[in-house]
Amino acid sequence: MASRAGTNDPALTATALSVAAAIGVFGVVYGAVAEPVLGAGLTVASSVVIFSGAAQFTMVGLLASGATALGIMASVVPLALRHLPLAAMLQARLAPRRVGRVFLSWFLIDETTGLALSHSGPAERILAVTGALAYGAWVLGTVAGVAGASAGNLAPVADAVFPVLFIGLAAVTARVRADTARAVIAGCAAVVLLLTVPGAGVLGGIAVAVAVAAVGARP
Amino acid sequence: MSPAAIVAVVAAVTVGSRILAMAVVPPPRGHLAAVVDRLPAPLFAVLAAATIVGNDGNLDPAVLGGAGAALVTVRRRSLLITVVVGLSGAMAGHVLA
Repeated sequence: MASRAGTNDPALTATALSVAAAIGVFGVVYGAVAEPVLGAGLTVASSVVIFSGAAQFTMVGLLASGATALGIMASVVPLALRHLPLAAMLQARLAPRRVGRVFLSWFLIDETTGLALSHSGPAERILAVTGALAYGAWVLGTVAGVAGASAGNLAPVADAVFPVLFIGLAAVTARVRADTARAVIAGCAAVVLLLTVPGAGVLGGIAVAVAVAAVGARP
Repeated sequence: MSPAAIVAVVAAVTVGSRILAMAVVPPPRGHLAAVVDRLPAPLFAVLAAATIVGNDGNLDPAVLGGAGAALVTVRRRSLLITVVVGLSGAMAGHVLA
C-alpha cells in the first residue's frame, strides 16, 4: 500500500538511503573497473555526465574488449529505451510544465521511478530527492573507486539490494489481485526468458511486462 | 573514436532518451494508457527477475537469499519491511555460501 506521506516519510527516507548506499557501492566497483580503461578523470566525468550504471558498465566492458563505437552504441541504445515505459508510468503524476520535466528527467532511473510510484506524496519531490541521493552516491562511489577504495564484502550484499527493492516495488504497486497475478506471471516469464535467452536482457524483460500488461487492457 | 568522444556520445544517448521520454513524448492515451496503468507491478517484477538472474545467468547466494526473504514479506506490502528483511536474507545467504 502506498505511503500517504511525501518525502518526510521515514520509510521512504530509509528505503532511499539504503538504495543510495547500494548505488554508492556499485559506484566504487565502477570506479575501480573503469579507471584502467578510461583513466581517472574520464571515469569520474563519465559518472557525472551519464549517471547510468547499466550504460556505463556496458560501455567500459565493451571498450576494454576492443569493441567499435558502433558496437557500443548498439548496446547502449536499447538500454536507453527503458526510459520510455518508466516516464510513461510517471507522466500522469507530474505537473505538465515541460521545463520542470526536463530537469527531473536527469533522475529518471528504475529505482527513483519505483519510489515515486509507490508513494502518494508529490512525485516531483520524491523523484528529485531520491534521485539527488542516488546521483551523489554514484559520483562519490566512483571517486572512491578511482582512488583505490574496494567494495570488498559489501558488493555481494549490495548486489541483492536491487532485486529486493524491485520485489518490494512490485508488491506495493499491485493495487488489485489481478496486478499481483500479472506481476507473478511477468516475473516467472522473465526468469525463463533470461535463463534460456540471456541476450534478451532487460529490454526483453520489459517487452514481457508490456505484453502481460496489455492482455485484456481496455481504455 | 576516442574514449572521451564515446563517453560524450553515450551521455548524449542516455540523457537525450530521458529528456525525450519525460518532456517530448506525449502522455499515453486510450488503449496505451490502459496498458501503462497496469504496467508498474509486472515491470518491477521483471526488473527483479533480471537482477536476480544477472547478465551471466549465475545465481548468486546473497541475491537468492535476499530475493527469497523479500518474497516472504510481499503480503505486508511495506517497502521498508521488504528491504530490511530482504537484506537480512542477503547477508544470511552470503555468510552461508
